[in-house]
Amino acid sequence: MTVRHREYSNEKEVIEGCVKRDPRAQRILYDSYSSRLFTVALRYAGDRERAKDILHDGFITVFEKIGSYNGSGSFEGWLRRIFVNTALMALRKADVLKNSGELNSVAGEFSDNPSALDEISSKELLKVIASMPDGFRMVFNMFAIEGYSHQEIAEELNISESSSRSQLSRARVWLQERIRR
Amino acid sequence: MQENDFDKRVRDMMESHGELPPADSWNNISSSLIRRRRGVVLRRGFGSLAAVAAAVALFFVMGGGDLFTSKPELPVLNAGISQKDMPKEKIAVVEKQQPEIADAGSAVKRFSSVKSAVADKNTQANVTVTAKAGDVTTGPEAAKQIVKQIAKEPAVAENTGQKTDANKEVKKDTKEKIETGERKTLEMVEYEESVNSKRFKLNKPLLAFSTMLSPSVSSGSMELLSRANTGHKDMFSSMDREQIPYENLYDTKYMPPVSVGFQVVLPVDKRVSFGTGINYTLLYSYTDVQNRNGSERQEQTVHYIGVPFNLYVNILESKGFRLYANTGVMLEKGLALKYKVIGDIPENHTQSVSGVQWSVGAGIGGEYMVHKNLGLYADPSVSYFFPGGQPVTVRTVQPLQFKFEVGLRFHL
Repeated sequence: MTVRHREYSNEKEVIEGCVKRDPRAQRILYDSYSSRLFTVALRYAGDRERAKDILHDGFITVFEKIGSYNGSGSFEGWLRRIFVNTALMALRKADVLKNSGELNSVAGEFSDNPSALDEISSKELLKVIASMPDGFRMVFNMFAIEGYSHQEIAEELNISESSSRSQLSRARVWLQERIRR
Repeated sequence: MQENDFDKRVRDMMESHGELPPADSWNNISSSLIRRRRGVVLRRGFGSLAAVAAAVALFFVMGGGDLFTSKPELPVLNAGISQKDMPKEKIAVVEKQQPEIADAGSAVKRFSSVKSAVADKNTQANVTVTAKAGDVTTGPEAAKQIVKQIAKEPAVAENTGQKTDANKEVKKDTKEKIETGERKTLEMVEYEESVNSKRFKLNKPLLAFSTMLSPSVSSGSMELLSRANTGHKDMFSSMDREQIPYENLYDTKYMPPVSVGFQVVLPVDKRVSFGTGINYTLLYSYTDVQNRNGSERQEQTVHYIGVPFNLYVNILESKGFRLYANTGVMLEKGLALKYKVIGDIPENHTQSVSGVQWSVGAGIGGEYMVHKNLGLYADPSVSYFFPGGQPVTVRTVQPLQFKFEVGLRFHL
C-alpha cells in the first residue's frame, strides 16, 4: 500500500477531524487511546462493568468537548483529566465516594524495600489497585498517579485534608502488602 | 524506597500499561453519538431545505419568472436613419398591433394609416403607396383581413405623381412610425426567421439539465484514488509501540464525485450570459481497516446540494455549434453524512454536515444544436474546493479537481 494523499497523518489532524465529527477520525482517536483510558477507568472503578460505563461516558464527553481543546498541554493529559472527572462523577452517583473518608485498618508499615515492584507485572499491579478499598483507591489514584494535591482531593471527595493524607499513607502500606503476597 | 519513589514507580507502570477494552465498547459509543446527533440532523436538514426553497423563491420574485413569459421581439431599425441610408430593399411597415375596428369608416382610416413604401432595386426613388380606401367592401372583419393582406404582400408601385390627401396622411403616419422605430425590411424579417431556426438564440434564456463526472485526477483518468495509512503508531509522539495492544492498517479509496443538476442561463448580451440553478453531488469513499483481531470496511457517503453562479463568454460560433469559456463559483451545503461499518460489529448512522463548501472553477465548453431548441453541451473544467471545515472527502484530499460536465440545454 502506498500513501498518495494526506489524510490523517498526525494528532492535530485527527483532532480536527473529530471536531468536524468525522467518524473515521473518531474511530482513530478511540483506537489510539481506548486501552490507556480503559486502564484509568479500571483503576477508579474497581470492576470491568463499571469501568466500561466510565469508558463510554468518558469518550462521549471527549467527542462533545474536543472543540474546546486549545492545544495547550498534552492531548493525552487533557483526555486523562476528562476521564478522571467522568470516573469521579460515576462513582459519586453510585455513592462509592461517600466512604472515601473512612480509615480502613492496615497492618504493618511502609517498607523501603525497592524490589517489591520489580516482581510484579503492570497487569497484576492494575488488578491489585482495582481491588483496593474505595477510600484507598480514590486517594491513591488521585495523588500518586494523577498528581492531585491533598487540598484538591479533599474538595473532590468531600473529606478533610488530614483524612486524605491518612488514606494515602494507609493505601501505600496496603498496596505493598498485596504486592508481596 | 521512599514513598515518593514508590508512587513514581507505580505511576510509570500504570501510564505505560494498556488494558484492552470490551469488543463492543466502540459500538456503544458510536450508537450514543448517533442518538445525540439525530435531532440535530433533522433540525439542520429542515433548515437547509428551507434555505434552498427561499433562494428559489427569491429568484422568481426578482424576475426569474419573466424568463418563461417574455415574448420574442424582432430587432427594429434605428429611427434616425434617413431614407437615403436605408438599404435598397423592399420596405414594409408592419403594424405591431391591430386595434379593434368598429366600422367601415374607421377601417378606411386604419387602411390609410398603413403605410407601405416600395423601393425598386432598379430605381433610386422610394415610392410610397397606400391601400386604396375603395378596397373596403364590407364591415370590420373584412377590414382586418385587408390590413393583414397588405402587411404581408409587397405594395404595388404607383405613379408618384398621384398625390392624394390619403397619401399625405399616409406620409405623415409613416413619418410618425419611423420616429417610433417600427420600420424594418421584409428581407430582414425573412432572413431572421430562417436563420433563427438554425442559429443560437443568444438573446433568449436557456434551461439546462446536466450531469457531471469528476475523475478527480488531473490526468483525466477515472481510476479510483487510493491512499493508505500504515498505522497510527507514528502519529502520536507520546505512544510507545511496545505498549499498544494492536495496530491498525488503514487503506482509503475515494470514488469520483457524481453530480446532477439544472441551470437557467440568462443572456447579458450577445456574447455573455449568466447562469444559476441547483446542483446535487454525491461523494463516496471507503476505508479498509485491518488489525490482529480482524478487518472491517468503513463506508462514507456525503450528500451535497449547491447553487452555482456561472458566467459564459462566447469565443467562436458557427452554424449549429459554438465554443465558449466559462467561469464561476458554487456554494454547497452538506445535507447529510452517512457512515456504515461492515464487519464483526456493523454500524450504520447518519449525521449532519456543518458549514458550507465554496468552490471556484473555469473551463472551456462547446454546444451543438441537435434540434431547433435543443443543444447538447460538454464543459470540461477545473475546480478548486476551499477548505471550510467539511468532512474528509476527495475534495479535502485533492482540492483541485478536473470536472467534465455534459448535458442538454433547452432554448426557450
